[in-house]
Amino acid sequence: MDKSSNGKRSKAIDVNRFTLFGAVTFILVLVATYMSLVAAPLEAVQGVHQKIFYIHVPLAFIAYASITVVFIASIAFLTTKNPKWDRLARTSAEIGIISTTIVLFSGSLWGRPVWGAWWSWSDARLVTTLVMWLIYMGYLMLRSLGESNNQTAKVSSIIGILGFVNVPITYFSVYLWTYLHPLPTLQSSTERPESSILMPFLWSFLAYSAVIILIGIVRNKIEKSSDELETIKKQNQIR
Amino acid sequence: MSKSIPRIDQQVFRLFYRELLIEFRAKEQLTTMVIFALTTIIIFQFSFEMRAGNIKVLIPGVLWISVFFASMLSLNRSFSRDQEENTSRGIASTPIDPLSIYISKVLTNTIFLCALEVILLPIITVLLNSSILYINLIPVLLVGNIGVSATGAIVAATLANTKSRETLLPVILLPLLLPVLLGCITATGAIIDEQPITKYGHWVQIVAIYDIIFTLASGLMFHFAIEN
Repeated sequence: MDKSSNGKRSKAIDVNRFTLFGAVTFILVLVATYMSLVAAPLEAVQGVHQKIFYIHVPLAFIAYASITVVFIASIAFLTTKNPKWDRLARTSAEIGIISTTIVLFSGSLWGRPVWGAWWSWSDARLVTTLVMWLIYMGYLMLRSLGESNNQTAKVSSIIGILGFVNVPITYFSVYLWTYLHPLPTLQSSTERPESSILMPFLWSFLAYSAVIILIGIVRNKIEKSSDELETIKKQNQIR
Repeated sequence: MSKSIPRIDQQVFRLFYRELLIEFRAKEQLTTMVIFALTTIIIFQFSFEMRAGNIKVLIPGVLWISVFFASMLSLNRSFSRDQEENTSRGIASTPIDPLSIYISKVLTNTIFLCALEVILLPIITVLLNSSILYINLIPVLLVGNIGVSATGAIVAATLANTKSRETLLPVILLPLLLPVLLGCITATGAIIDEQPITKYGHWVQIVAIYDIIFTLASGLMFHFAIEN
């Protein structure tokens, strides 16, 4: 009796915490939108087109972070065989794909007025980001075509690790083959961004990170329920 | 009385010999690869000749795409044959190090790709009327073949137990191999254009680094790929 009431209580707390986190995320998104669209000054050369960077750059960071999580969780799954790591890898790969898709689209939208082209095949970072997107689409295809079992999880983990090898190539390619793509200003030692531009960036980064974490929590819960359902189905089949 | 486990180099040699022996008897993989690559080149020739003024500029791409898809056939066959005939289970039950299996598969596929190119290059020279028989091409072909084989072997082994392996192998392998293909195509193009090594040497280095990273990562994970 006590146990069930405790369970209900912890669930209620969980829901409350989740709602609170959702509300905070919503406020963060509102602040970030105001900061980037209204408060941030227009960039002298690129003008209004530079505004797209407040979405593009934070999501690019999130995309790389997600792929890193897939890599770490895949190694953890292969060594421990604990399904929670596989769920984390699955969720992170989906988040990585969503972020990379938005990064590619927003980069293309920025490229048209500034570079004069939607796409440039001579830019290595652009191409390797597309390659990264293709690798993780293959990863998700593998997951969706395979049965929901330990074998699929193991196979996906190996591909998840191999796919990560591509990430440093993506990241460092800008230093090796710089052509059209601008050098990342936030890391450049010679050109520091002004605080009026940096602050909206940080707010955007915070807001989009919160959105992604929120989606990740929900997705992970769904995956956990789905795994539990699979286990119950298999147990019933055995009986 | 009990025999000691052979050293890793002896294991690799025996497995490599086994692969070559199977091919020597069946004449299956290499024949299929050559015919397939040849068909691809002819199709490319028909497709491009109508539009492209200078077919020579397309040769590096045609060569490497043919090599990539031919290796796909070879790798798929190599692992599915072991799977169908239960050889993989037999090998797994012996005290052979999984790393030896991986190295032997990479070696076999690299040798097959080298043999394919030895046949293919003179044919391309004749059919496309452009000589691509350059000595400088050897390191490019070698780093490219090792890259395709090292990555291809781990992905093919990983997918061997899955239902949609034929569909998924090119889908997963092509993006993983894109840096190798990009480097090799650019370097081959520079050699055909008779440019100095300073114009393409860095591409060979990049592909070589990629080969080392992928071989190490794949070698470390291969036992996960073949365990059931």
